[in-house]
Amino acid sequence: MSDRNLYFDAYDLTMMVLFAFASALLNTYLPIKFFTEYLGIPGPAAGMALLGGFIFVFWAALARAIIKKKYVAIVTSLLIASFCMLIAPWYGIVSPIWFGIYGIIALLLMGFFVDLTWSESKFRVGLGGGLGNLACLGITWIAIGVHIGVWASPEFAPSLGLAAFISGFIGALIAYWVSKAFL
Amino acid sequence: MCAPLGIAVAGGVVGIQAILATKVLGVVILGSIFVLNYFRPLKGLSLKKVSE
Repeated sequence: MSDRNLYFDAYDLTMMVLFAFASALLNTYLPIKFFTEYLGIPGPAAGMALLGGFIFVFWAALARAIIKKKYVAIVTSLLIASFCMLIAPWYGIVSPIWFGIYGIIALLLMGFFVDLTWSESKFRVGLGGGLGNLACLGITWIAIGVHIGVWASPEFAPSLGLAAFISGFIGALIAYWVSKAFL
Repeated sequence: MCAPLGIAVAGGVVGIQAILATKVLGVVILGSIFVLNYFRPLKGLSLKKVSE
């Protein structure tokens, strides 16, 4: 079958799948909770706030930087969500059984921001990554708050939100620099 | 003794259902991406590489 009729060809899909898989593995197997508890940072989703830029944003942005087509970050983010769902329930939460949909929405928003702001401007790229990770964190906080009853503490929430923005900003910028330096 | 066992079984069933539902979600998204790519719904939006 020829690739000519496809929006994403085999190379594009392979790269996106590889990056998404790496992201999902990092999200699942990095001892993030241990890390945040060791540092005494309260959750929920403190790991996403601190490391979301490296775990999620970087990979979606790197795919966008390499493939250079619209919607790459969105599709990569959806692939990340898909692999995360195949490995384990989103945040280990099994009630309601459809809780994973929040993970899909959160990552979809992240990819949307990365795609929307991707340009030659480093600031815009970083801004997209920052807003993407912040949106991802916001959706996750709301989901966990509504269904589990655990809300981010008012004392730490602003700091975690700022950390999420900075983490996403840096993750997207690193992807931008990596693509410029090596490709 | 039966009540805790019943609760545990019910909890286990819900957990298994949730895990299966999550995996179904994952498969549906994965499949949708490949199917939509095959049917080119993005064709009308843009098939050109973004010039940078």
